[in-house]
Amino acid sequence: MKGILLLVFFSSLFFYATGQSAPLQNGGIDHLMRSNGRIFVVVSVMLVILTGIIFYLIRIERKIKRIEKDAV
Amino acid sequence: MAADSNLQVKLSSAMRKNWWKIMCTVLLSYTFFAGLLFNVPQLPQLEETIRNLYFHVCMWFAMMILFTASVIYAVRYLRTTNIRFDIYSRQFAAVGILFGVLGYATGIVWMSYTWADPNNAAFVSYGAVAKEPKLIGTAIALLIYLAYFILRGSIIDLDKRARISAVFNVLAFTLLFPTIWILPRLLPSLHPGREGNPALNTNDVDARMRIVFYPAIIGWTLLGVWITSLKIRITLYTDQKLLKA
Repeated sequence: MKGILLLVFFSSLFFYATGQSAPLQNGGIDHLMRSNGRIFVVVSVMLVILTGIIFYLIRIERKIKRIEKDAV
Repeated sequence: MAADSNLQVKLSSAMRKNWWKIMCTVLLSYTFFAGLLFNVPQLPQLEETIRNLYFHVCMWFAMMILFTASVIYAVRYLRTTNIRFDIYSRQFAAVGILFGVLGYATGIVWMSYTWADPNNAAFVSYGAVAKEPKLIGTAIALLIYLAYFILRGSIIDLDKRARISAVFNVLAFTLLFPTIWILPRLLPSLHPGREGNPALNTNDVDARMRIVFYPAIIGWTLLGVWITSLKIRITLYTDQKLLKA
């Protein structure tokens, strides 16, 4: 499960990088990313950080759960 | 009445102990609010993406500060052989790597729409981005810290593991100097500010950005310390059980 989540997280990064292969394309996510002075680049950066930290916190929480189970 | 004042005492002691967590929350809220809404200098290559200074760059600052904390505890372990410091050192390094990886991940997004953007007048090929000294330097630094965990995992004896990995931690921190502080300043780079202290040079970073940037660094670092403190508490608890068993 963790592996799948990590895979989704990192493959979503390549999703952003695919903008290069098609120059001057004006549709979909690429268009959105370049609109409004490219502010959505900042938004995606914030989302990447948030996702990363939340995944990390979930991992810590799993560890705590395991310890709680042992304590009982 | 008595219960009421008791609660007050409890609350105030919690405030005294956890003031930095409140500060972290306040500073990060300010970062997100001001980071998106305050005025920034308009540069044609960057436009609004300049705001990533408060996110992407802060990841690296938090990483450096957490690695510094890690090496301080490694040295303290070597001086006192108190296993507590070994746990501190290990967890600070782990969260430092988290922030390093997040710095990389956010860098991928940012560069896709600035340096390596074919729609941009200042387009740079992927090959040129890959030659970026900061990318290579930080990759080496992060790999050295990953090696620290491989080393830890390979030694079963508690004291031996603590001692050897503390020494390795000092080495890893020393290698941060050439890889992320010296080499990127010597080689041609796409990153701005290599002539001085990147991001800290007051002539380099606009005053409008500094009022958000410095609080942002503190906020992100405190978040890292907060996560680290939770990890430390878990490890202290499990190790205690181990020692008792």
